Parts: sequence; structure tokens; C-alpha cells
Amino acid sequence: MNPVIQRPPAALSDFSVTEFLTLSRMGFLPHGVVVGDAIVDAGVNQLQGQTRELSQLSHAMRTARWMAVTRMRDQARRHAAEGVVGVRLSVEHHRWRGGHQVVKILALGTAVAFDPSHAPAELRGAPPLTLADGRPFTSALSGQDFVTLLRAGYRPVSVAVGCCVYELNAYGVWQTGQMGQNIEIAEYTQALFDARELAMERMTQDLFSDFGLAGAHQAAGHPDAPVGVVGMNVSEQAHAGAKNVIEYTAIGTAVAPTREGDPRKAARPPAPTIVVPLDR
Amino acid sequence: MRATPMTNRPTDLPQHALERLGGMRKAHFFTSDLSVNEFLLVKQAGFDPLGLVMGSSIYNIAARPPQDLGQFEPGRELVEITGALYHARELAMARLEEEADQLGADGIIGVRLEVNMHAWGQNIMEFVAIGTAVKHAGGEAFRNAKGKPFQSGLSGQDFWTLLRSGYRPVGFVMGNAVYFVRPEALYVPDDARNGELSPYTHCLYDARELAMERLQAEAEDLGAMGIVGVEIEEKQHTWGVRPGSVVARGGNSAKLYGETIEFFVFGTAVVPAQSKEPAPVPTMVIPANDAGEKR
Repeated sequence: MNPVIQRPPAALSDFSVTEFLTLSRMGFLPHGVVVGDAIVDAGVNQLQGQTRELSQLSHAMRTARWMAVTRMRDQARRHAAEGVVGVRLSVEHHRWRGGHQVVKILALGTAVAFDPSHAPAELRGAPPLTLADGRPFTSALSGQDFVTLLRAGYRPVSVAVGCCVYELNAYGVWQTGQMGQNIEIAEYTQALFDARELAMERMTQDLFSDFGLAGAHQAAGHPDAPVGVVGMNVSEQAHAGAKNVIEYTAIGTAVAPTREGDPRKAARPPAPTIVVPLDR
Repeated sequence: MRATPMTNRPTDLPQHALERLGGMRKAHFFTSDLSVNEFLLVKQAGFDPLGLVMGSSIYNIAARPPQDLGQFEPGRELVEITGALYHARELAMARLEEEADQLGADGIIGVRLEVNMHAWGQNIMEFVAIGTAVKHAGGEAFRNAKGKPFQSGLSGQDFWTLLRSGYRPVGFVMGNAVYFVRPEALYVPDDARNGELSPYTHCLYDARELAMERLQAEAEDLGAMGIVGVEIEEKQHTWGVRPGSVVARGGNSAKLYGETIEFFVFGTAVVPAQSKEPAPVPTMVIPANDAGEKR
């Protein structure tokens, strides 16, 4: 690791006070707010009234997210950061000239790096949290969660995202004559069930391919192989104003065990206590 | 696309579900919607998260007011609709259980049951159950009396506290009742006087009790000693309401056509268990965090 940290003179952060204090006590200082964005053309997607995946849109969102996160990461690297915490991804859909659908993704977070001169004496020799190939880590967790994770012997490696856009045949119920019955609509259950599973499956696939691995089964021996994803959320929204087009996004933070001999891992796991807060 | 309805057999899970679960099981790679604190507490309680599991069901609801209400009957349960809404939730929960079973889990924690109404279908409801499958690291048996993975609707924090206090969850239990209230039950006899709308009170009271009774019966069926974290939801579903009418409870549309209300109650059934450590004593703290601070 470079012993001289090139922290930008007035490094911005979007930390809360508690977050800043928690991180700086562990020796982490903000290296600026970092941003990456991408605008990707998803082409013309004519809705056909069929139940099917809109692969072109799924693919455009996947590409745009990857580009935005990569650019944010590159910026953090230029700021001499070890990683980015509190990453947020925002999505916008536009319909441009000629009916082209355009996906715009913005990735934003605060770059941080470890400064031994700010750290408590027992943490001074801590190994860097940068990935083995030199890229900074990314994490969607708050500063407090990031520190708790390190104390428990895990480190964040990467934000994991998966996406699937599905069109539903909105006339399915009328066609099958199930209108007046209390009955499960198997076609819809299957479609949306499958769409959610696809988003989750792609999240894992893309996570491992980002490390050049074919899947979790190949990960043994890789220095940054994630062991799991925490804080995952699968959200669902109507896509870009079309009623019968549904977009699923799975997002979480992939974690790996801390490196050998990292003093940040507490000798004994932190013992939980039950507290009665007196603030209200 | 399969033409027949999905059943409760594991072979009926969508192809991508089997692929995803198989991959996680093979590689010991987990996914989870637990927060960092929850993840660590679940580990501390001796469990390993195996993966995020889910189940869903999309159901068509055909609600009609009962045609044969007696002259002095204020309302009545719509038994068929109660059954339909319960069956839809049961299907979602059964598929959640199947996914956990595929991962070889002992239980599912942090179970949430959500209802989505989509703009593309007025009478169509989607029920989604989501949770994290876990397995006991020491190999202790935690499956419930039916030999299935236990389910718990509690947070990771509550799960840890419950185990440390000498109880363990056995199932996510639920009960519901859909009730039709006839418009006459909503009439105020004289606007100038304060008075109880006793027929209306009767309907809502009856519906709540029916739902609670069914919740209790489910817990008894699992051999539970009690239910914790019970929540009651009152749902005013939009089906059965004429287009363009006011949906709010007691609103104008209800005074014309009557209203359809569902009470849904759920909780986590628990049984006593051996705790290796004494129950923790609470400590009092004064948090210095800004009360308005979100993270």
C-alpha cells in the first residue's frame, strides 16, 4: 500500500455526524464524494401483450449499472481511496426521439481510506481493504454497519445488483375465462416468480463474473471471493409508466472474510447486550 | 409456460428458482436481506444464513355481496373470499417453505408477507412471502412438529433475544376474515346525536374475533405455547367497489353499496426450549444519536 495517502484537501462526504465519527475512530477518513453515471439506449421496445421478459431492457439496465459503478470506482481510485461506502444507485427512464427507451443510472457514494496516523495504536498495521487487483471495494452499507462488519471479521467487497424487466399479458384473465372465479392465475404467478428469481440469480452471476469467476463453485482460493450477500433487497416497480411492465431489482453488499492477521477483527466477537434506550 | 396451476410440490418451482437454489447449496454462498446487525446476531445465535427464499401467488378475486342477507342482519362473512385470500397466502408460504427445503434449511427467519395490487388487474392480487433460510451450525434439530423448516416473522434481533430467553419459533401463523357490511348498517339514525352504530361495531368485532380465532387454531395445531409479535391489519380492498366511487371506510360509496373489509392477523408461534446461557439482563443507555438521523 502507498504509505502517503493523497487525500483531496477538502474531501467531501455525505456522512452523518455519527457515521463520520464511527469511521474516523477506526482510522477511516473520507476521500470525497464519488459519482459514476451511464446513459444507455435500450432501443425500441414494442409491447406485444405477451408474458415475456423484455431482454433488451434488462440488458440495458445491467450494462448501465455496471458502467456507472465502474466509473464511480475509477474515480475513487484516482482519489487514492480503499473503497466506497454508502453507495446508492438511482434509475431514471426516458423515452427519446423515435420511441427509443433510454436508461440512465447514477451511482454515488463516499470514498474512504485508512490513515494510520489517525488510527488507534493497535490498528496501525492493518492491511488495506482494496481488492487484490488494486480496485477499491464498493459497499451499500452505512459507515456504522461497515465498522460492525469489520469487527466481526468480514469486509465488504462489492455492491451486487441483478435486474429483470418483464411484460405481462394484461388480458390473460379475460382470455382464460377466469374473471368471475376465485382462483390462482398460474400464468402470472409463474412469470413474476421467475422474474424475481432471474434478478436474484443474475445478481450472483454478475458478482462473480466481476472477479473473473464463472460462479460461486469456482471461488475457492480466490483472494476476494465473497462468501455471501447481506442487506439484500428485491424491489419491484412498474417500469417507466407502463402498467403491465414490471421491473425487479435485487441489490445487496457482497462480503468476504477479513485478510489474515487484520487487527480490526475483534479477538472475540462483539457480545450483544439488551439495552433500554432512554431517549423517549 | 405451464397451463395447470402450480401445486405444492417442489418440482413446480420455476426453473430459475431451482437453478439459483442449487447454485447456492453447491457453493456454500449465501444471500440474505438481513441487515449487518441481524446477520451477526443470527450467527451469534448459532445459525448460518443459507439464502434468500421466496414464494408467491397471484390470485383473481371475484367478490360479490351476499344476496340473501336477512332483513335485520347487519352483515356477514364472505366465506368464499376469506378462503380465497387465505389460500393465496398459504400457496405463497408453501412455496417459500419449498425453497427453504431445497436449501436443506432448518428454518426461515425474518418472514414478510406482502400484498401487491397491480394497475393491470383490478381484481388481481399478488401475495409474496420473503425470508432468509437458516441452518443450525451445530446440527441441532430445529424443524417443526411437521418436519418442515420453522418460520419466524421476527427480526434478527428479536430472534436472538427469543432464543437467549429460552424460547424458539415454530411457525409463522395467520388468520383472516373477510366481512361484508350492508349499507344500512352505516346509516346514522340522527346526525344531531352521538350514538354507537351498533350493527357496524358488531360486524367489525365479529370479523376481528374470527381472524384471531383462526390464528390461535393454527398455533395450537403446531403445538405452540403462545404467539409473539402479533399484528392485526385491517384491509379495505378495492374490489367490489364501483369505479369512480370513494373508497375510504364509511365513505359515500359504502353508504350506497356496503363495504367489504378484511382483517388479517399474523404472528410467530413459539415453544419453550433449553437455553444454554442465562437470559440477558437489559442495560439502560442514553443514545447520543440525533433522533432525526436515519442511518
